[in-house]
Amino acid sequence: MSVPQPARAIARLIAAMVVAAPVMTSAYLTLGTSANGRSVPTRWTSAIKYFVTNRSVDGVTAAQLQAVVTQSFGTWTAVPTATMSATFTGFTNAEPVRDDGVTVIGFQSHPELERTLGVTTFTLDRTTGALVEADIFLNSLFDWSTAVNGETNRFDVQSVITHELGHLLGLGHSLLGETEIRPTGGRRVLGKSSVMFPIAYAVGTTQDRVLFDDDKAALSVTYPTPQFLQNTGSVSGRVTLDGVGIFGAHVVAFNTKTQELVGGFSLNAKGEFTIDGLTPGIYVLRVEPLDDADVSSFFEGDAKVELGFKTTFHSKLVTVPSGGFGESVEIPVTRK
Amino acid sequence: MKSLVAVSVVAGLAVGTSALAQTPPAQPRVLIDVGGTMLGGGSLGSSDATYTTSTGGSFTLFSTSQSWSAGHGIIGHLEVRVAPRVAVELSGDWTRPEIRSKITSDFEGAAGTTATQRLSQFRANAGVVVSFASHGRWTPFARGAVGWLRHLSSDNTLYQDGVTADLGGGLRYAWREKAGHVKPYGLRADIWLNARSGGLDLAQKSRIIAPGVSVSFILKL
Repeated sequence: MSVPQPARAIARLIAAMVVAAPVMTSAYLTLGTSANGRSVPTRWTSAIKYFVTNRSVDGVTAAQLQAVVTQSFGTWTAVPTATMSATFTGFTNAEPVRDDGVTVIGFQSHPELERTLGVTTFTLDRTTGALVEADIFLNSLFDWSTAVNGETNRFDVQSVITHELGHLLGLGHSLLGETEIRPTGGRRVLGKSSVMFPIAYAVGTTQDRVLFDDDKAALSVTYPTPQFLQNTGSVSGRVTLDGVGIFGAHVVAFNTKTQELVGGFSLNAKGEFTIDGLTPGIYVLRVEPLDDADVSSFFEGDAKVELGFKTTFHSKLVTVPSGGFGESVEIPVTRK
Repeated sequence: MKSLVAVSVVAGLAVGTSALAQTPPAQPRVLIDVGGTMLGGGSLGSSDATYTTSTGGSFTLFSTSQSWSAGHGIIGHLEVRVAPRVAVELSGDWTRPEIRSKITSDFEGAAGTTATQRLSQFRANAGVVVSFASHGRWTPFARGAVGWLRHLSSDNTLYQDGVTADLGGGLRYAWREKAGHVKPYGLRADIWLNARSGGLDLAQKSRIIAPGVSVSFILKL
C-alpha cells in the first residue's frame, strides 16, 4: 500500500504483525528504499516524537496503552550499542495510519484484517530514506491486555507494540523462528529468537517483550554508536546452487561461545549476503530456504526467491573480527 | 624462600646420585635446540542454537560440540645454565591445530557435518630445567614453564591471547662433546602436560589440558 506524494517524493510503506498466518520474516532485514539509483536505509534522522490515541478498548485504557508504549520504546532505546531517542508528545484524537505528518500509535478496528494484530505504516523521504512519519495501529478486533504477567485469551499489548516499534524504527521482519502449519490454517510458532519474527506467539504470552541478539544487531546497524562499529564485525559471502548465486537464501550465523544467533539474506542475483553487528569470534553458518513464511512478506512480489534447496551448514567455521570483515565465504547448497 | 629450598633439594639429590652414574659430557652453558612438536587438543563441550518457545522454554534448532585437534609444528628452546644442574629456559613454538564444531540434530534435517578452521597457535614460555644424573650420553631432566599464547585465525583477521603452562620432562642425548658454531650437539626429547586457557573463544569453556611432545636438535652456541 502506498500513497505517493510526488512533490515531496514521499512514499508510504506498510508492515504488519500477524497471528497464526505466514507473513514477513527475515533475520534480520532492515527497511530500505531506492534513492537516485542507490539503496539507502530507512531510518529516523532526528528524535522521534509520537502521540498516542485518546481511545480505550475493552481491557486497555489510553493511559495504559501510553504507559506500555513508553515501556516498549524504553526496551529499544536501552540497547547500549544503538543511539536514538523517542519522546511521548501527548494524547491525540488523530487516527493512526493517516498521512498527516504526525506519528500516532493507537487502536483501530479492522475486521477485514482477521489475522493481523498490528500494522505499522511509514511516510519517508525517498531521496534520503529518512522517515518523516510512522503510525502504528493495534487491531481492536482482538482482545488485548496490559497485565504484567499477561492474561489468558488476550494478546499482550507490550509484546506486539515492541514488535511494531521495531518496524517504526526501520527494521523489517526476522526469519529467526520455526513454525508449523495448523490443521485449521495459519501457523503456530514453535520457537523464535527475534521480536521481529512476524508471527505472534499464542494469546497470554509475554515472551516478545524482550529483545534478542538479532533485534539488537538490527537496531544497532541502523543507529550505530561509534563503539558498536569498532567492536563488532561482519561476515559476508555468497550462497550458490549449481555454481550460480541464489537470491533470498536465509543465512544464520551462530556464535558457538555466546550462542548468539543473527541472520541475514542473500540479497542479489550473485547470492551475496552480509550479516553485520556480530560479536567478534568464531561462527557456524547455516543456510535455509525461506519456507517458514510467505515470501512476499519479505521481498517484492517480483523477486525470484530460490526455495528449492536443502538446509545446509557451511563446512568451515568463519571468523568475525572487530570492526571489519573476515574472509568472504562461499556456501554451496544442493537441490531438494 | 620456599622455592629456593626446593631447588636446592632437587639439585642436591641429583648431585648425590650422579656419583653412581657415568660422568656426563660437559654441558655447555648455553644450549639452543630446534625441532618438531605436537601439542594435543581436547573437547570444549557443547552448545545448542536455540529459539525461545511461547512459555519461555528452549527449542533446539541444531546442536554443536566444540573441540581442538592436536596441532603439529616447530619448537625451539634457549637454555642458559645458571647452576650445575639448573638452567633457565625460554621457549617458543608454533603449531597448526584445527578448531572443530560438530553439528548435529538440525530441526529441518540438514545433514550433520563438522565445520573446521585451521589456526595458528603461537606460544612463548619461560621456565626452569633441572637436569638429573647422566647415564652415559643420556641426561634426563624435568621442566616447568609458563607463558603466553596467541591464536590467529586462518584469514589472519582475528587473534586472541591466552595463558599456557607446561610441566614435564625429557631426555637429552649428547652425541658429541664439543661442536662448532651451530653444529648439532645432540638430541632432546620432551614430553609434557600442557594447560592452556583463553585464546580464540570457541566455547564457554576455554581451558584445555593436553599432552605435548617434541624432538629437537640441540645446537651449541
